[in-house]
Amino acid sequence: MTKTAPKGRKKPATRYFERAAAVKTEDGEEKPSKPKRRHQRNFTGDFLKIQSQEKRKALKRKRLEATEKPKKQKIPQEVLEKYSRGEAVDSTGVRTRHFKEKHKRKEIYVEYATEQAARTELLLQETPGQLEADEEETTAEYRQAEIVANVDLQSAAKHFSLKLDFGPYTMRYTKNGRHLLLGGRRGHVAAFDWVTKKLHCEFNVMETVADVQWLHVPTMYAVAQKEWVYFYDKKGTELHCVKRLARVNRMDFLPYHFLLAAGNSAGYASWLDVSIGELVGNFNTGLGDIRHMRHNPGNGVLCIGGGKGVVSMWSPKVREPLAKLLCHPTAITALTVDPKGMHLVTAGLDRLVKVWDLRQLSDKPLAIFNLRLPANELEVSQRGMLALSQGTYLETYTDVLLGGGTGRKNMLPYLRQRCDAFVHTMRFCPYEDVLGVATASGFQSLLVPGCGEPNYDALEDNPFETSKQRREHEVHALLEKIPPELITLDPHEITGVDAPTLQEKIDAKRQLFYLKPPRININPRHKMKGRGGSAKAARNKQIVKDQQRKEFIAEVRKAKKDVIASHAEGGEATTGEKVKKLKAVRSVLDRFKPKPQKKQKSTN
Amino acid sequence: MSDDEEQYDPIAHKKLLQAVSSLGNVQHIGKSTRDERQPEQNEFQLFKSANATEHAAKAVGVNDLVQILRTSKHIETGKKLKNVHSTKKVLQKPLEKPVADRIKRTIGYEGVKKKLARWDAVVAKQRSAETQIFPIPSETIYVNTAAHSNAIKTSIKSELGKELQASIKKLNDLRKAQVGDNTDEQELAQEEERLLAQKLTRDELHARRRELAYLRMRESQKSAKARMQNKIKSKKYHKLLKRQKILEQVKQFEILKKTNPEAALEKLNALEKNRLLERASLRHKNTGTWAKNLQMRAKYDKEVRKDLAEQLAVSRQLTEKKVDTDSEHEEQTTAKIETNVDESIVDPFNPWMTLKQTENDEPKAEEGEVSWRKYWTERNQNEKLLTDHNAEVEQVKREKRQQTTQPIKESPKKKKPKIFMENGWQVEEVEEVEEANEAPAKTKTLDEIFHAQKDNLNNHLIHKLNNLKRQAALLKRLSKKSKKPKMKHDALKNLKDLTFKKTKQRVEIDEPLNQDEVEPKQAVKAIEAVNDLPKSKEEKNSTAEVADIDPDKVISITWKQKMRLTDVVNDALADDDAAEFDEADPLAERQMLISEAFEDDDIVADFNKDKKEDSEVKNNELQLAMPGWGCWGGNGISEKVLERRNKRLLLKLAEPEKRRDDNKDNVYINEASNKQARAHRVSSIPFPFKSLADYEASIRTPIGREFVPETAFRMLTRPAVITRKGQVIEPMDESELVKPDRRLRHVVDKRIKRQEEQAEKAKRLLVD
Repeated sequence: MTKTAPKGRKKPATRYFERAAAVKTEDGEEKPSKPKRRHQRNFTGDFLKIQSQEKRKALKRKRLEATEKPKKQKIPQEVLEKYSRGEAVDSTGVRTRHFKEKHKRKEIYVEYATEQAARTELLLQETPGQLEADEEETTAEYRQAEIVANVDLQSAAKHFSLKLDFGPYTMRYTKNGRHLLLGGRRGHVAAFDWVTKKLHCEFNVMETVADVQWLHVPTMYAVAQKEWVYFYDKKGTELHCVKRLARVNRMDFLPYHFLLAAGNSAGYASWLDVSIGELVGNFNTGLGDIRHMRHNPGNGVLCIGGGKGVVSMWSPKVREPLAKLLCHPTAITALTVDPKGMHLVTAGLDRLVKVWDLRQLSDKPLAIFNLRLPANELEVSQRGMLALSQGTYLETYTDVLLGGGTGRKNMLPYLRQRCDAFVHTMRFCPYEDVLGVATASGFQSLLVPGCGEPNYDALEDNPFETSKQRREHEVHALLEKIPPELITLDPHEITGVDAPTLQEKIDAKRQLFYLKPPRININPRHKMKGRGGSAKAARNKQIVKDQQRKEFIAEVRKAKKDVIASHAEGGEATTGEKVKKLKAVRSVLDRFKPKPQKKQKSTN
Repeated sequence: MSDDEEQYDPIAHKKLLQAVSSLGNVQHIGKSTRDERQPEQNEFQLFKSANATEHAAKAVGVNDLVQILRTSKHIETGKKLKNVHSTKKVLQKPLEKPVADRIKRTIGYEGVKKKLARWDAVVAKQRSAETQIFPIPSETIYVNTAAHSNAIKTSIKSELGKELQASIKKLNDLRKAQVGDNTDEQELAQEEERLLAQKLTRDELHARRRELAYLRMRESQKSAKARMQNKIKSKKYHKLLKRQKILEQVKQFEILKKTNPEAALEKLNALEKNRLLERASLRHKNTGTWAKNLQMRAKYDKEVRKDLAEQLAVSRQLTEKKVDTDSEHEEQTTAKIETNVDESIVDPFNPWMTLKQTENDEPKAEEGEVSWRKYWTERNQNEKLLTDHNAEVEQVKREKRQQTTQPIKESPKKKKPKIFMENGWQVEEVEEVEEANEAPAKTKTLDEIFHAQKDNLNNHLIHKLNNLKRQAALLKRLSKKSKKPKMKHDALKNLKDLTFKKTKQRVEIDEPLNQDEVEPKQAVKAIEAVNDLPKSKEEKNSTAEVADIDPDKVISITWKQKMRLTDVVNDALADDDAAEFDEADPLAERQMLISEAFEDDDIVADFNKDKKEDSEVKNNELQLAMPGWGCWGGNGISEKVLERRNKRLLLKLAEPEKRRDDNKDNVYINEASNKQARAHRVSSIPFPFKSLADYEASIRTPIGREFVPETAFRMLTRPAVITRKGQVIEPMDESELVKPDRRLRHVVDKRIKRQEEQAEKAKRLLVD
């Protein structure tokens, strides 16, 4: 029995779900249960599909008034320029109206992208800075102990030193600056997370170690040992032994190309593709023992400093140097390239440090540092600070070009340090204000405020990446790997149009004079009996062949003549064309033209 | 013979004849005639004539009727009927089937084309749209159309409007009252409405019928035209027709010249060939009867000779092959030099010399003109020159006559007016002057001669002016047609404007070796563009100045490491660390010594030598002299001569080119770039771009997620077509043609619109 509502009581208002149910039962089909507005509910007319613009506009205006959308901040021009990708396409340079329209649209997209990128400037919380000296003080006076005493605990922990016994050390930071790899000449190899001081592995390879190098991930590294190059993982397990890389002195890693570059004592430069395990380039540079080798992060070109004061630049697929730069009249003692790939810094035995423009490749250095002693190690930080060591003593300068430190520019270094032993390797730690110094007797981590990039791009290098992120990053990097043949002096060369070089043009012209008529294969259609005998077919064949050959010869002769005419004595290409043009077409009726002698007669 | 027998009854006689003829029982099959409307007309439809069969009722002919009427009192009517009968038009034989079909097809094609052309703008817009969303978004609004609902206020009437309406109503009422009309207005309106509702279908039917009728009319017109055109024998008509066709072709050529130069060249060749063919068949030589007659007299008469010469000159011009404009120009210049040398030698009677003159006189601006027009102008000028010359000769003669003071009398012969043929030929009466000479009694007065001369000149001038005018008009027309109308915003107004020109993309199959000539041009362009920038933007002057600095001329900064911090007062530095700073490292010192001892001054020279070797172009020379050639008698000829010959025949394949490292002493740059890297590059500038700079600019931005912000990335990689799942995409209907622009949803669309508005505003400001 159902309970009926009491008589006197009002029926409660129907809820929307009840109503929806009622609709369903009536029509026998489902209808949206969304409640309609009152004027829609009571609506009895027809539905018309009409584009309504005016009404919308009015509505929108009202809504805007109500909520008062905050206006977008205008972006300053200099910030926009920082993120701009260069000149836009000139619409007059695009051919049809359709494509013009398309490019106009694309330009606006790009503009929007630049604007959006510029808006992210807000998110860069960290601002770069340097030590500022008080009056009557210079930053050069400050000792490490003083700096450590004045910074926060976390930063202070970044200053440490290790006393190690296995001879002069080399060291490398990973690309994100989190891990450190040490290699002592007497076989000691150690990898650790230097921020947390957590050791990954430490062992002795029982051979001399010439150089160490991280690969694309902080789980693998290469060690150049006495004979060959070995690969180890984070835990010290030997992964590979590459015997084709023998007696390697120096190693470098090109992260975007996945290439491990190595220079050996016989003067061979080798590039090992670590993603496929293949040597993509391996040849003798003819420079002798390669002692100084850095890669240019801007274009991936390997810069090798030689004993004759020449820095030569190499690509794995070209066996000659892409460029040579005579930097010093003496042997080169150190060289480095700044992380942006703009400047090359070299030091020679002539006690000079020179800064060169790598993109312009001009023959004059941008800056010359006169030193008391020749520098034996050089390093440029992400923010353009220069560190140089002279034996056990090292100095840093705030700017590669200007030198000097804050307080007294052009006069004094920014910071100085005297180490207890000879400095063998120096590296600035990426994204940290830290300079790592590997000496003959261990490792020192020095604080150099303002040397590292304060804002990191987590998609590019993430110092705090998890293992999952690392794996993700590895896959992405592999997908975006740049093929080794694209290592050229100008990284934007790929965008250009391929034009033949002078040598190619010459070869092509030369080839004309040694051309042979091509063999012609004719397969005449087999004709039915009585249509043409084999003799006739052979004759026809010969006729066709002769004809083709004659044509070819005539063509070649004409081409030859053109070449000769264009390069004739005097070498004016225009004369040949002129001769051609002057040759007027003769008409049948030209014979009626008066001859010059007759003309003279007619005057009388 | 009895009267009875004599009595001749025509009807009975006819019957008899019919009976006789039907004896043979032959069926007479005649062609159908169109005397009444039939649903189907078949040209092959044949049927038996009615009188062929005996039992069939004889059709009443019009003639019979007329006969009857003549006898009765209705003579007038009979006459009328006869008139009608005699003047009736027999329908023409229908056109042959293929011809008729063709006409039908063309009419159909035109109609469909017109109909489809309405969609051009919409299609063009859709094609160029970056993203299309289907189904096409439309917004629904609710309109209550029920009878009892309030009417929608479609327009707001002003006070004045309301007053006017009221007054008009009042006026109407008054008028009605005057006439005495008392019909109910509302009822009438209702009636009208009802009728309208009914009519709607009928109207449609009418329209349909009208359309069909129009089509039928067009068809019949066309068929009539086609029928007529085949019959026309008039030479003039055909001449006109031909000229019209040529003009049309010239027009097409002009259009083609702009759009497709290759096709235009072909067209030009075809035109030229046509002209040649036509001209070759002409007899503007001395082979015609007229010319032959003249030749007889030419021996004795100078005037006749002149005429013949003129004739020959014309034919020479007509048959002359047109040379390329470039070489022509060259020829002209050479010809000019020649004429400068021997201008005095010019023989006016030599057609070749006159030709040369005309060529010289020809303005250079006409070089680019189409050949036919050139021919026209040339001929006109030639003609004018000749007549001028005639005039001069006559003038001289007259002057002579004056000097001799002979009595000049007017010739009684009526002077024939000069006749201008259609093609510009001028026929002169040659005998006239002769007669004048022979009969001095019939001389004119001086004044009259002058008048005649003046008239003659005037005539010439007018003729020439007309010619020029005609040409100018033609040119104007052409230029008008070639101009494209500007783009407008209203999609309806410029339906055809939005469509894109179809131009073929030509592929460069064979690139010339001297591509380097092109590249610098582009580079120059790019540089110019860069140089132009600061001009346009004055605000950026300061930055532009910075950009202008020559990177080669940057002076390197030199500075020294401080030995001691002497100028620093602070004592804190005097610790033991600092004390050691100036102490030279003994090891380094030793190294220095060694290096100084072995310091090779030639290190720079060595480098430069290497550089020279490396940058040298290999295989640059080619010996054209063959061994043994030129010394047939053995090696007797002196070595010197041989050497000289060898040197002469040494071909240098390339001039030394400028290198990147030319003026840089200490730098060597390898310009033989990476072969494998070149495989990745494009071999020529890809299609829509005109210059390398534009192409490079177009690919300057990456669009990946890593390189641009997420919002921009989504925008840049938006799909071309967006469809919604589970929704039917209806084909467009005609309402799409009249729809206003949709509300802009996309940021970029908005931005583009804003930019356009700003540009317009700026333009307006400029105009003001």
